[in-house]
Amino acid sequence: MPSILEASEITKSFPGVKALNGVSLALESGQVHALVGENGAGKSTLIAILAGVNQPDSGSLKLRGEQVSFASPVSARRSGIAAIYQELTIVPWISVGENIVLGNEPVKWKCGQIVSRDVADETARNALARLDAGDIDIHMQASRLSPGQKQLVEIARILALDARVIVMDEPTSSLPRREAERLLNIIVQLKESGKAILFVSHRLDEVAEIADTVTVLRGGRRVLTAPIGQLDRHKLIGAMIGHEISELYPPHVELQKTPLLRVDGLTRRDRFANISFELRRGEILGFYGLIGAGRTEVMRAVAGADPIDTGAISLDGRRLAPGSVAAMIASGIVYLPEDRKDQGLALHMSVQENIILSILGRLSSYGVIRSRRVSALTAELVKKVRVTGALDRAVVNLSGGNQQKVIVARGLASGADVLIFDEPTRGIDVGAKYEIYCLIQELAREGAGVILVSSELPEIINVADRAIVMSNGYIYGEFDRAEFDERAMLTAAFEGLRTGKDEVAVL
Amino acid sequence: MSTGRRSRFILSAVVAGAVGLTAVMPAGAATSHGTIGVSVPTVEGPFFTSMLYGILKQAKEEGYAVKILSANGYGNVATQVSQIENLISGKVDIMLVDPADPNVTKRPIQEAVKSGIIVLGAGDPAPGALGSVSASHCTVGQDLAVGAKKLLPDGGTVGVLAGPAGAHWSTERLRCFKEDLKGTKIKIVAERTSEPAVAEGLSIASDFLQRFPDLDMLYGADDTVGDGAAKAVEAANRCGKTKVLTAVLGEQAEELTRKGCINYDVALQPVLMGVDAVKLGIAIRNGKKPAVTEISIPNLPVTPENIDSVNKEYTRSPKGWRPPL
Amino acid sequence: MNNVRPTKAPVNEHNQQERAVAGPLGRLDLRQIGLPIVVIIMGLIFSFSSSNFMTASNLRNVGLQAAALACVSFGQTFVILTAGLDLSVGSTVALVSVASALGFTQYGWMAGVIFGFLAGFLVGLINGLVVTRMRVAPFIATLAMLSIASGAALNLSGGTPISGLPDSFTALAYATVLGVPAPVIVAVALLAVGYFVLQKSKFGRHIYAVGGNREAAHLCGISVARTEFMAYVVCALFTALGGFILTARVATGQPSLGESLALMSVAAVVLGGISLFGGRGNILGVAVGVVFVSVLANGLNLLGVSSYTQLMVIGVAMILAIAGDQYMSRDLRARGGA
Repeated sequence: MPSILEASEITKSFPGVKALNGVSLALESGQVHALVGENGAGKSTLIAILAGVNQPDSGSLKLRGEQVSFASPVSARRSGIAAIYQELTIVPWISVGENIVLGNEPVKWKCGQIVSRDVADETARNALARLDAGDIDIHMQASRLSPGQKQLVEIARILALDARVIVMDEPTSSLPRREAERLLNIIVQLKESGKAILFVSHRLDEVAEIADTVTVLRGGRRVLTAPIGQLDRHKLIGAMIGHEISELYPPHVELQKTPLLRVDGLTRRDRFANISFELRRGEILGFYGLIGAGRTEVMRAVAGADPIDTGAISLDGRRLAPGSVAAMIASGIVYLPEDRKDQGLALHMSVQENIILSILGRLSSYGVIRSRRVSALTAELVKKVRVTGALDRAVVNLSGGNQQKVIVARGLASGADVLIFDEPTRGIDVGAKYEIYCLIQELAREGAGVILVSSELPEIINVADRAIVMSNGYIYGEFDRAEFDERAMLTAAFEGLRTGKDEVAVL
Repeated sequence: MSTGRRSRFILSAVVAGAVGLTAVMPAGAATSHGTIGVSVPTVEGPFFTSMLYGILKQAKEEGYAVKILSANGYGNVATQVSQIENLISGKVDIMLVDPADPNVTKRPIQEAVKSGIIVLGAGDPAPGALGSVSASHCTVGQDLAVGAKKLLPDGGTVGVLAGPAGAHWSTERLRCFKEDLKGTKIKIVAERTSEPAVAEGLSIASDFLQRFPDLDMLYGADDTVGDGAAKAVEAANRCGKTKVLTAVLGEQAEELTRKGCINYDVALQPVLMGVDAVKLGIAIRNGKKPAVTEISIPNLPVTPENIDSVNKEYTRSPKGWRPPL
Repeated sequence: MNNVRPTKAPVNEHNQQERAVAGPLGRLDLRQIGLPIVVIIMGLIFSFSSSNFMTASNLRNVGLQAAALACVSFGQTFVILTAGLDLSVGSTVALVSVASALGFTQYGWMAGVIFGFLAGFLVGLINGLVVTRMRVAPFIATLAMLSIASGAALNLSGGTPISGLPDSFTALAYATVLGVPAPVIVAVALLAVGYFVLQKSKFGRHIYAVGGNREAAHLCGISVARTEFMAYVVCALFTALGGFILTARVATGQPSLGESLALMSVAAVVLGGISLFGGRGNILGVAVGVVFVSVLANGLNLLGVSSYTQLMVIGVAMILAIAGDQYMSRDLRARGGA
């Protein structure tokens, strides 16, 4: 019996890069096929082609043995192929219910142009119920959903489509653990109901949990396809990066530490309260918590991007005035945002331009930017953070890992003493993650103080010297490296959400 | 700010602003014998300034309040319709209208008459009204032709600045002008319409002078474009060589005539038009409707030679006077 | 293990699901109640300051004078909801006026109507094609069309107004049904049609989707190009209707009709709560915006404020409305962190 969807020898080039080179892949009904590979390996391109967003330069697609070609997402959808992307495709100003039936609206009356609200509402409600998310109000404006809920709505949309093939591009990357697990369960349910699923993820433990078959892409080519039983973690990572690495994290080093940053009683109504901690030179301080715990808010306040109600921030004993990013940068505190695209980078400017963005003043005389000063500085920084490729490329074209490094370079450019990394390795492949950890350690070694905000407990445990756990706007735990304990830290992360019942409140 | 506080803030700001607005409003009219509503296409230019002066002067003498509405442009015909409607519901006693386009104002004027308002054309005849006080524009055109023949006895070339394209006054003038020039050796080599403004006249005339460096004469439909034409001639150092022929004697036109850059100006008497329009309206209101209700005010030809001897009292408003708007 | 115990009760969660009021207006908030309140206050102030404001005849005038602007603004709503803009609406009115006048005077009633709508349709067609096929930014595309349509109107009319329209047509501007002027009825009917299409039809919902998140709409299989194209056509057709109303009112075909409509329609749309970024707002709000602008102009006229000052006031009101819109949307976006 032919596979439900088969891609053969797919090749696709974009200006300057061959994204896919003769890739073949087959999806079977009732199976989860995982697609893994480093960023830039071609996974997103392949998904775009399967979903009809792009067309291959050469190669073919066969639906149940019959040749097909998709000119647009509409035709792919009509053939029963639906996709969920990394970037959320929620229309914010219409209702949840409308989002669920978007592009698939049920109609009434002969002209086929009037939306049948009743049928639409029912479809939406049913889809949400299947996801155990019946508490979401379908009449609510979609902008009010949390990221986790938005993801659920996207899946509800897929369910409403009743697609035969579902393609998912890193669906769990922005979900906290609980939601991610729920999603994985749903995927298993979908598989058991006969759908064919293509699942892209960086989280190898997830892949191990639900996949039946795994395909590894590297540099636009298919390197490996095998049933999950024949693979282990090492083999997978080896296939992804082309050589074996034995560690995911660099070895930890203990450093001499002197006091650097001191935060006392930081409070901002409705966001966080009573936050106090110390950071020393040469120290990597981890900030762990669930999504919504308030860590980003605290860090933004320390970096001057948001105001505070009360509290003190001191650097090297000197009290700093809050609320001005420029002042904080000048004092040496730099915040590297979690949302690279929306908050971090000027996407259409080049690598070089992004790096010098905060310090244009220093690089100019009388308001004119001196290009020689710029090149010298950026060359040095780029070498330090190991960004690959030309400096004049627009950052939008870089891989996630490289983008993150550009942001770090910018932070370094301003000569920071305190570097706050907010979820720096989200959506980045294994090799690049390792490099970032090394970079963080190097920064600490050179005498900076590093704060690492992360929702991945293994990351904190392996990289940080100390960890602070926040929950619902408060600090609920402070651990030295010797005291690191997964269970204790996780418990602390849930502390703030307790409603007095046995169940912990769900976000 | 929380939502509650914010909405209260905005609300109070709005109320405060509104109260402030009323404070700025002009005080209500003192007791008067009635109201005269005036609807004009524009208040720019000596013609309208003078006519409004005449209206206001006579109205004050008679103890009437005056409300002036300007459409701010000959092209804004819809605005004039709205303004007539507003005057109707404002229940003015007398309405003086100078139509930007008589075809457009006819119906609203009829509605006004139906509602009992005494409507008269002022400055131009207004179809649908009970009468009018105007210069016969055809006569102006004919007087302009006389002037042209005087300035160019042996014939010559003329550039025409025709004024607004759809306006009755300018088209009538030009029509009768051309009629009377049939058979003479005076030839029109260029013609352009525009809003009645000095700047437009200047730019069009400069254009003409570039195309025809030896142009004999420029025709300005009235002294807005006429002044512009004269300035262009002055700038090209051709005062007296390229003769300028125009109508309406405003302050600037008078100056330019003295300089010899305007050579023949058919001065209208818009002040008199305004005065007589008010008089006619009040007479009709008091039941004393005269036999002739379409009144034509004669014109005064003015040249650099006779400019000091001509009686200019009714040709324009006092120096520096602006209509209150 | 160090535990820092909080001394106060836990902080509010920032991802509260706020109660939504279901219904045609969606969630009622200051954005949507604000302007009607201002209109009412304004009305009260004007009736207080001038005895002529609250009369039947004056209110009828307001309706008459607002009708054409309303039609054009409703059309503009479609385009702005897709995050586009139509600056050519003013000259479209002029072109429709001239085209229909030519039809009326030379070939009769049917020709007048057909020529007028055809002119509007052509403008919408070209706008739509230039924006969706040639990928020109709407601001520039419609600005160019402004010149083209205006030039065409002047050309066709020879620069002068066309008179001699049949009385049966021009009388429509003054016809009333149960005391309500016909133009007002047309505007209200158009509002109903617009509301129905935007809220209930697939096309209307797709407009909101395209404006709210273009990429999402595209990925969900909605033809963004076709939706945008249709928005411009609808806008031009609504505008054509406004052109007919104005032409009847001035009883002539005028090549310079409707000059201020581009600015005024955008003002009404923005004041009515439609975001220039697309995807949000309700056409009923636009109706309130039209009422606001018209009542303001009418009231200030009655009080003898010069029209120059009126222009300033409307400009200020627009800025306040847009700033207010930004301020309130920003707070919504700021919520939800890590």
